[in-house]
Amino acid sequence: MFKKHFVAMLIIILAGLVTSQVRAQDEFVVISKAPKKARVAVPSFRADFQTEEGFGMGEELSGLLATDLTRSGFFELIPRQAFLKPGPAVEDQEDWQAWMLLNAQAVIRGELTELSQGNYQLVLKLFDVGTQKMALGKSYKGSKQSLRRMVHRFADETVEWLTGKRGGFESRIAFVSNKSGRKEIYAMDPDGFNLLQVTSTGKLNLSPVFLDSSQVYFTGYDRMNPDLYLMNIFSKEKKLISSQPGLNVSPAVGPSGKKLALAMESPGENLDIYILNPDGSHPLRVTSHPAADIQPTWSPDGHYLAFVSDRSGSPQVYMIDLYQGAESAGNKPIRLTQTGSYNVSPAWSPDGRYLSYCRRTGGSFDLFLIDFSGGDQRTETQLTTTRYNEEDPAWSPDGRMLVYSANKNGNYDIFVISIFSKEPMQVTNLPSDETQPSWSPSLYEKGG
Amino acid sequence: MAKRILVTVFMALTLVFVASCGKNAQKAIDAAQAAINDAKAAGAEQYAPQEYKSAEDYLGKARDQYKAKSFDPAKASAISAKDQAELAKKRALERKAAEDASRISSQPTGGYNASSLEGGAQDDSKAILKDVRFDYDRSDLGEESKSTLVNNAKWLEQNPDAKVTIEGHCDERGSTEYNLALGERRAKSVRDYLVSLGIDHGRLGIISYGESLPLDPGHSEAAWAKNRRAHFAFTK
Repeated sequence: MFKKHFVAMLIIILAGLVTSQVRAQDEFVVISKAPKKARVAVPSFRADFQTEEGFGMGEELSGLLATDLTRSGFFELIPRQAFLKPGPAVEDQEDWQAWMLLNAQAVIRGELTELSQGNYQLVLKLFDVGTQKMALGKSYKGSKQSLRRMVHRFADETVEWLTGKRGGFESRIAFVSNKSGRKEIYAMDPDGFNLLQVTSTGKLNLSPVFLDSSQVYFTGYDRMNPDLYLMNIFSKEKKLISSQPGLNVSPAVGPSGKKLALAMESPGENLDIYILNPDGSHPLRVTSHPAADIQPTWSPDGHYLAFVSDRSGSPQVYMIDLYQGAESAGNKPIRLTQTGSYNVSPAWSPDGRYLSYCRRTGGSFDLFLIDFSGGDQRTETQLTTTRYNEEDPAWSPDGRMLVYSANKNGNYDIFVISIFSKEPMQVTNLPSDETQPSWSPSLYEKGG
Repeated sequence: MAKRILVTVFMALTLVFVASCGKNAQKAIDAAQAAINDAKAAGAEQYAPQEYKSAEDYLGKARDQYKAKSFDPAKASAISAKDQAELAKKRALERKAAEDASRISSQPTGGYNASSLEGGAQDDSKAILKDVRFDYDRSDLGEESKSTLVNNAKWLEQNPDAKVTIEGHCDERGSTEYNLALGERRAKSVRDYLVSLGIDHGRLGIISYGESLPLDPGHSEAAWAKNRRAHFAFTK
């Protein structure tokens, strides 16, 4: 009798050990997945015009490159105070030993030349400390206004040098701000520069989404109804795309911009997901449920749409197989979120591997990632764990960063986060609320 | 001969005089008729019945006197008719304006039942049609909300020309888009209840502003409770 009990207890203890071992192993695997950051030095760029202005421009542009590389999550910037020889290198003759002492993997040098009045050349060179050779060298020419973009382009090339895949900093971010007192659409560079007011209706403007690098879809109340518009952010030319009575909201641009998904109401119906042509024509209904279906996002191959529905009684993220047609008895959407009573704002990564979304955890909202790389074995990671709100995630064009809004400072600002380093970086810093960011495609491919 | 001419001239003058007397009386009668028509158009029959009747009586008397060729008294009566008609018109317009004013004053003044988008979100303490409150992430109506809507329905019944837009609003928590859906559902829930109370569906528009037009910009439970509402705006 006693012996039997002893055996049973032993089994329980052993089982407990095995379980805790497995758990420890899981944690180890997760930690080892985070890539080690490359240590890089970016000394102040040299300007050939030895003026205060030239010095300031060299400081600004090298600082911008450092910011981009830090935000990418792949680089650790060596503080300038640590540099052993702060001055510029002579004739590309780097003091390799000095950089090795700092454990630097790369040094990036820049040289700015004013070719003629208002016309500049920026030469950027990345030296690999390991091989003691230049690994990347680029020369850009253009106006003063294009200098920051040259730096973004080189940052993208530097990310490619390290990871094999181009970065996404040469792009734009659109968002909603109530800085004028009413919600209007704005656009800016990913570092917060070149702020551009897109709408100025004095009414409500919501949910901007890029069709390409210069056109955004958004919902506007110009006609006292939430209608969908498409607007060129530079010419301000605006087209009415969808104007069903009731909601025409949460646009999502499909693969290659050939289709548009939208939540809207047909006459006498409730809110469902539709697929339309980019100009709003030929709406096809995808979901049909008396609950609200909203916030669609495309898998990059166009095979699936994920969306938010409260058909279970609370907002949850679902996925529907578009190859099986619209929602039917034989094509029921699959529920992707099983934890939490408020899961919204799904955003599929450009490589299709991740779905980011926003979940209420306790009293605040955090960002989560579903990883589809294991097929049906989906795994989830929590990206943010703060007591304030992180919301509205949208992917960078290279699919390795998210832009989102957070009320860390009381009001909402725009932040970016690398899904690898998981370090949030603040982009906007206004006293108003900046929300609903959307990241444009890369301007590099577009050439515009 | 001279005497004969004189008599003829005298007779002719007399004829002219008498004829002109008749003509003046007729003119006065026509003017009185026009004034009475004006008064009638101004609603004097309804709003100034005594004055209007008096004007008609005077005019009738003037016509009788004219027929009896009593031109001077006919003219005097016609002038009185015209005076009475003008008085009737004046009083009718005054009374009608006063009545309109009282009707308008029972309509919302200021921004209390204005559109939240155009008039700005305002506290509804002075509004004719009161806001309805909701629980977090809910669009169903509690007992308090229903009793508010019963009162709103009564007013809408008594003012059959009034058309309203029901605005659905949410607190700031959660996604902008999902809150648009929630606001839409709150507005529909209010509309459906008013229709069940007998209000014509066609008089009740709906619009969702989600979390974007809060009544209280604060971030407390109290502010959120105020912001989860359906607001009534009179449709122009």
